[in-house]
Amino acid sequence: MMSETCGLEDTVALALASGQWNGQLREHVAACAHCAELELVWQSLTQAAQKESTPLPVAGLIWWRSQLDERREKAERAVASIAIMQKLTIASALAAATASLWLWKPGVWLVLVGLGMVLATGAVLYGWVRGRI
Amino acid sequence: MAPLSIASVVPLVAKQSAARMDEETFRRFYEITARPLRGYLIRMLHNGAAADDLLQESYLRLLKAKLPEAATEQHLKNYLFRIATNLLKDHKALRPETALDEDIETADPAAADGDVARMLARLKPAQRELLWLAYVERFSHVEIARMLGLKPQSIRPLLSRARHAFTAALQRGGFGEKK
Repeated sequence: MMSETCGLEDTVALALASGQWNGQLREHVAACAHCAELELVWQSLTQAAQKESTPLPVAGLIWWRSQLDERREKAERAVASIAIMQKLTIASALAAATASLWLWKPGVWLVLVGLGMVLATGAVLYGWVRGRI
Repeated sequence: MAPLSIASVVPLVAKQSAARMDEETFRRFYEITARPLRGYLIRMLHNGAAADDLLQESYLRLLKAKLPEAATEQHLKNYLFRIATNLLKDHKALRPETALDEDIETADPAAADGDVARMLARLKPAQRELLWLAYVERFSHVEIARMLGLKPQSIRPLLSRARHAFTAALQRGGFGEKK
């Protein structure tokens, strides 16, 4: 049975990659099943890699797509900022309305209504924060 | 025009992150790396159209990635192959290999002639990846481990098993002789 490793495996791999062999290493490969296997696999794969000649996708097209993606992302970020501002405005308006009502007619029922509005404001803000995360 | 090598792109790429890679630098990097990347993808997928899709997506993600300022050419190439390997995983999860032979015969003329590529296609996807990354792309075991999400120590035995499997397939196909 063939051994799992050979001490000269890395040296043989280097010789295969560089094409620089010495007689001793050649003799070793001829005698070592492990290294002969390495050589066979290496040569077969290199041969398969060299057969590849299909035209490649055009680099300019990929570049253009990346630019387009970048612009789209910028636009999306801008839209997101507008949405955040809208939510902030709504939250501020709600808070201001609550405060105004409170100051205008203080009373128990108003306090409850105010509390409800504050909670609603909190919920809006919470939703916004969760959305951001 | 001076012959292109990956080293000629290094200084340009190293000075700026890939996200800010200019068009000319990208074109040169593409010229050097696209052919090997496509070779890898096509041997893993046996489908030219899918390989081209994944190739384009790999470069798009590379261009979008925030890489370190001092990224070397090897770093960029490793990163590119890592992206491609992850995309391959996603692709295989969505479309497991079934009608392998049909794909080879209809989509990849280079693999349709019952040659080495056909033998390679008989291996498990992980073995194909290992063999290609190690012997065609010549990535180190550490780099391969990073790309495939494995421990570096596990690469040597896995590679050895993949080699045995491939050799057996080659010998069955009449390539090479058993010692």
